[in-house]
Amino acid sequence: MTAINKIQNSSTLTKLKSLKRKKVFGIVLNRTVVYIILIVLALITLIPLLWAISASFTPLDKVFKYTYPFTLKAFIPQEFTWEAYRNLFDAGMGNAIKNSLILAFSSVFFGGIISAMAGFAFGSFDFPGKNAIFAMVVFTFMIPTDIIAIPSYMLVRRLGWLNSYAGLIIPSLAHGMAIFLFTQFFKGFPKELLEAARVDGASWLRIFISIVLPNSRPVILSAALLLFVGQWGAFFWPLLVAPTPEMQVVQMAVATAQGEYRTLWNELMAGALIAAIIPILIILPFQRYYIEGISGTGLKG
Amino acid sequence: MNKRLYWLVASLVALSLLLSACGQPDDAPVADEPAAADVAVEEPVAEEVVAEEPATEEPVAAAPAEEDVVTIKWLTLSNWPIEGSGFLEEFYKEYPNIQVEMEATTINQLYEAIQVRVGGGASDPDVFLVNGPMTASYAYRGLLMPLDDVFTEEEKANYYPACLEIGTYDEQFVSAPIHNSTQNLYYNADLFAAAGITPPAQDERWTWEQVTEAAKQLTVDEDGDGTPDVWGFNFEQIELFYQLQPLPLSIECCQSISDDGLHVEGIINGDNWVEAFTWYGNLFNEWGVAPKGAVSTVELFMAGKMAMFLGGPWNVNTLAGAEDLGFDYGISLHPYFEGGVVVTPTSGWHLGINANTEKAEAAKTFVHWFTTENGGKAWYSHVRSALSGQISVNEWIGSAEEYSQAPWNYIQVAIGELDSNPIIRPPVVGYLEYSQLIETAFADIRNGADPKEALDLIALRIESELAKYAP
Amino acid sequence: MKIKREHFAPYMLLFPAIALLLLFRVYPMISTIIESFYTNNLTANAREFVGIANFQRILDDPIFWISLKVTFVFNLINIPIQTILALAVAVILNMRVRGISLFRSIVMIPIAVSPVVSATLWKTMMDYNAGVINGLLAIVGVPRQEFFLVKEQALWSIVIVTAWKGIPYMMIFFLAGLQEIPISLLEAAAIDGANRWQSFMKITLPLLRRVFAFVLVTDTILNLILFAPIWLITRGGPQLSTDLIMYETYRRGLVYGDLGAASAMLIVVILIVAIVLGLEFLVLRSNVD
Repeated sequence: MTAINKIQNSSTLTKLKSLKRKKVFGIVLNRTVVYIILIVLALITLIPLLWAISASFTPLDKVFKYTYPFTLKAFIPQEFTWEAYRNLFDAGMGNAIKNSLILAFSSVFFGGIISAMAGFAFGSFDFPGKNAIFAMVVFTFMIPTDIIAIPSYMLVRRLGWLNSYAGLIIPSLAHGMAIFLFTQFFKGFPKELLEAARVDGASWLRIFISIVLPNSRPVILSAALLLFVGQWGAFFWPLLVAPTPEMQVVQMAVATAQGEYRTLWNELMAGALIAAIIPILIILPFQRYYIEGISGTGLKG
Repeated sequence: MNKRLYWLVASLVALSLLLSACGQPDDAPVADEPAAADVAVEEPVAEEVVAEEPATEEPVAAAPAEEDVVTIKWLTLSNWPIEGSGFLEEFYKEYPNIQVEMEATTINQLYEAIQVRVGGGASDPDVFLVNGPMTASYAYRGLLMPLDDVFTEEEKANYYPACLEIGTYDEQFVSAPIHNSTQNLYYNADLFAAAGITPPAQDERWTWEQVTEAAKQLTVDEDGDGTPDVWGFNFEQIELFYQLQPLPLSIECCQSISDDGLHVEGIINGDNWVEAFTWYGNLFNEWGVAPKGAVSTVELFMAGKMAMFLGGPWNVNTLAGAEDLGFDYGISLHPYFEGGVVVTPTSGWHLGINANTEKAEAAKTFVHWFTTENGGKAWYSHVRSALSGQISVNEWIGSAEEYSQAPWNYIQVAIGELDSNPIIRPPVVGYLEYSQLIETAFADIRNGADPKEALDLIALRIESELAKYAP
Repeated sequence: MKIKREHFAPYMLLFPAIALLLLFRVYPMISTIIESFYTNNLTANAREFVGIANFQRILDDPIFWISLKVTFVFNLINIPIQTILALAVAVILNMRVRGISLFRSIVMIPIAVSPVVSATLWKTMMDYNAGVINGLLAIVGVPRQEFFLVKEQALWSIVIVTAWKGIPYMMIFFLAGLQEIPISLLEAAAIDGANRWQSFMKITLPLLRRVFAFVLVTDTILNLILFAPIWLITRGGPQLSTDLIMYETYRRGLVYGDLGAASAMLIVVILIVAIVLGLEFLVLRSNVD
């Protein structure tokens, strides 16, 4: 059976699912089937991660011992060891994590402020040129980053920002999705509050800091999550702009655990997990905000 | 809509156009592609160094506190054990006024640094490693300072002809050879004995057909799980152009690219190439005498799981220096195809001077010392074991006390093989594209792709990339 | 109600964002367009204006067309799979059964996982010699699959890799959309005698139209310019079977330095994206009534 058959079988699965779905839509019926499907989905999601966890705590020569032929022992490290993690940190993973954290938090802070300000302007004000500028923002958002990577790289190089935090963060500070989020949010922000404060003589800066921001917690959280995850997962841009070992970001550290002739599988999995665990830990408790962040833009926009 | 709006939009657009118009020509950034072009000619990281003289224990000579001291930057590889080996100290003994600051990186970063920094006109690094066949590409772009005035005719004659050729572009000598290399057939004598096959003698040259025949008998699946536990044969650098170019050229020599360096159609997918790589693909697929996937041939050999392999001269030291190998092994000559010609791979790392360096004198002194006898001897005493780009240095290596007995004296077999019709890799402008792309075809063939189809497609691909160099 | 009569404030607020966007988005975009009309003459390290020669060159180049074809085939497979499966999963996750929020959390995890990590995980799992997937297949008697190693399977394997992350991502939108549909509507329909399938088709789907459009557009863009798994796993191979256009562009421009051709390719890619999006909009619009 080839992989193609495997795909076909899963589309059969889909038809099966949709049959059940049609029958049970909106109302709880065939509960067992639903649970079966849910469990299958959960397994598909979790198996790569669970195995990676097990592999990361296994010595290198035993990583694939129980995968082929497969036994459940593959999921439980038979010889528990920290060596993969130790080697990773010896090789500079700690530094990469540090870099990525600094970058991510900076993105959140600066990117958040900039996007909030822009969203505030779009959402709460009317001013000449607003539609044109907003259209430009939309347009730039549609340009995928990869497409403009080369000229952006040259620009950053000319600015002397290669291998620096500046080069890594500044180009992506104006984040289209975050701006949308804030725009949508501020459209519904009570103007009376703002007018009142204005009448009292407060400057817009004051108003922004003391009235707007404190009342925008949900959207700030959503935007923060988006920005954090976006920056944390960036790899192509850092690859271009900051490839030196000192400036490595965590995604690069993962990708380079692969040598020309030997892949250090356990270290590769350990690195992957380290890179994955932090956004997972951040998103899971706040998932509602993250979901609202991603979906809020497209649905109400 | 009103006038103000249009003004606003227009000025925004104009601003952007203005910014882009200010653009100066920029060099293409070179991205990091972890699959390095076939530079892995060199020895594995952990290798035994046979010290010719006791390693110099003196601390680094204190640099004289005069303004006369010039410091040059040398861009080199991080997995070479140069730091603390005593090599540079030998240089300082002769030239105390020159200090060498090493910038050691990985292979890919080396390429990128050369392309971006030297290519971008920077004066730093002053001296850098050049992968032999890349000389043409660098020279074409004006990155290398000519070295004709640095070496005497005698010194140039001391280089192996192939090395000299690969370091020359447009009749100028531009990169000086440090290393030379060849490949020999190593075999596990015990496995041969157990299978009742007579291995090749040290001065006997088997044909690939003979190798295949033996390999089939030597590939053994002991536990019957469908995967061999002992493999018959493999290459050390399994999919690399350096290692595999001799195969088609042994059937029919000696074309790997058109004379103008721009075309491969009809050449790399010609009959001899298809035939050679059909044989190559069969090793891993139809005959199953060589393993697929990511494997280390030498590691398998040393574990007694590989009956024969084709590998570089550094293996003499690796094997001789290994403790409790557990089996007898032997060395023989590079095979060839029956009815064809003997062809061996050759050359290695060179040293080049940045054309824009501001320390030309010091750089030239360093490069000259490094790649002539004194430097060669120092290099092979402190850092590497085999083999030099200089004929006299190899003679000196082979005559050392340590190399006088078996299995160390296998080094003589390797040194001898340096002269067996070495064919250089094509020193063309588009060497990077050529070698990287053709290696993907080799990998695909190894994984079971039809050789003719794979070679046809890659010829198309390479032609497409080389087209940009057409005048 | 918007605040008017403020002359400075909005512009000041907008300034940082707009400046950054202009500098790092608009300018590079224009630069790419300009670059596509030049070529790097490698000897003199200077640029030459060549008009549309780069475009002619790539249009004559069989590799470019192969890459386009691969991209096209890939998206023809991938976009429907991801969109429909995402909807299906969203429907399942919308059910009110006990513990559904746990399952929701689990299924959402791949979104938090970066493209690098997900490609790495799957590359390891689908290793030919000893990967977990081959191990599991062996249990049901399926022989070892080559996955990324042979041209027949490589593209499908990329489909699987991108689905693991792509389906949950798209699913979120559908889920949010589904949750906005008032239960009362469905209950009313049920009372009126509509069965589940009818209420799905007549009520739910139309209400999801906007979400569907958004998902389709987003998925299209993301997949048309897919790059990460190719760079990390297959590098366009084997035998160009996964040579998606963004990777081809990257290779040509950044690795081999042919910026003019790469820029020209990018322009073509953008045009294609625009056309595809345009087509999708047309189709969706006609489905309104």
